[in-house]
Amino acid sequence: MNKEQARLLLMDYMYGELDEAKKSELLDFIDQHDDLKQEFEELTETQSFLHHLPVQDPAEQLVIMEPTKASSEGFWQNILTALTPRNAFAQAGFGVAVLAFVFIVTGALTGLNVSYTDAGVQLGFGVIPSAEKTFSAAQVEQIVQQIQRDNVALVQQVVADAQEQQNIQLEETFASFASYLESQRTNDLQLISSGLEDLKENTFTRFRENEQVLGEIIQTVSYGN
Amino acid sequence: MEDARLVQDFLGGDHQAFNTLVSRWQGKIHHFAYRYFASSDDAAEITQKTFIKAYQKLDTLDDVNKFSSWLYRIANNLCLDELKRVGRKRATSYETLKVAPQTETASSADSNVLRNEGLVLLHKALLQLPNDQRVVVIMKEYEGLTFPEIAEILDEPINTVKSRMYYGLRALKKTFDSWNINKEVFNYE
Repeated sequence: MNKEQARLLLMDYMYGELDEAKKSELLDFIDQHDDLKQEFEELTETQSFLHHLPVQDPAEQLVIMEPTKASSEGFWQNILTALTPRNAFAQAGFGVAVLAFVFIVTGALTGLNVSYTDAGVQLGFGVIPSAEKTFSAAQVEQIVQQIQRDNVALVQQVVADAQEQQNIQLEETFASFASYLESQRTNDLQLISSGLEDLKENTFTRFRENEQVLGEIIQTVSYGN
Repeated sequence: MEDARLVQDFLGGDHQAFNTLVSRWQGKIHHFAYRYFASSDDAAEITQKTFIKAYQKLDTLDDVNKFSSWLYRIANNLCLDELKRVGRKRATSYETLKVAPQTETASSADSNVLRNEGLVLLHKALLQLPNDQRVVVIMKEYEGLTFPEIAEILDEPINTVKSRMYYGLRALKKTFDSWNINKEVFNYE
């Protein structure tokens, strides 16, 4: 026996639920352990305090009233129980029959109309109006042709607009290119003119220098002679 | 007539048998709930609910010889439900109880006053126990149930029940010491 086991046995001992053999074993064990002996005394004292706790009796006697058996709810419940079959299969059949009955009665009261056509089953209340007429083959062809014509016109319009747009863009491009060429030609002419002026000036300068040299040569020769 | 016989009579259609069971067990269930909550109103409500539930569910009782354990289990479950429902409110009241006791009672000259205050503190000390320990202490100390019966009601191992009883008593001892509750308060011996 260890202390934990002794404490559990102590509970049995305190409330008179321990047999004699275990009781002597427990008391011997407690005698050997002073801490358990003290615990035992403290718990016994605590237990004695608890006996003083007051209590109040209930103020009134509860009475459970028996439900009345003659109620309308019980009457209908009894009828329903008597009508409902015991067997599960029979209950299922009974349920289907009740549903069919409710469907028929409801249909009769609301003028339910059920009709079969090549297209399928039609359900409705009262007289079911005839379905709307569909288009004939010629009408369909005419509509298709009209749609095709509209489509062609629309495509032509779109193509014409695209062409016009392209023409405008081309014109703008040519005008821009012409302007560029004109500008380039003007620059070239200016460059050529400038070149010619330079050439002319150089040529004049060379003539003057040649004349000067020739003059000096002639003068030198004249002085030599 | 034994409880089991009354249960069988009720299940056989004798409505009056259940009223006999009610009159026999109403006081015990009321005392149990009163010690659980320290409130007459709560005890009356729990008692009423317990018997209404027992009336509705008695046909589910497997062993008619275990009616008393079954009834206590219903009452205990209803007490736990009530604690969950108003747990915050009760937790607050327990907190105020912890600081209520003073040592002035020990110096009071009037022994009757001392005793009355001691009884109030006794109840407060019981209310401060954790629920699982409190229910075991109440069932063991006041309802006189055996440990195996308590274990069956709470659906717990018997050693767990004994352990809760031990620690419950230890906790009460600690509380009594801190509140100076001793033998003199109750004119003990």
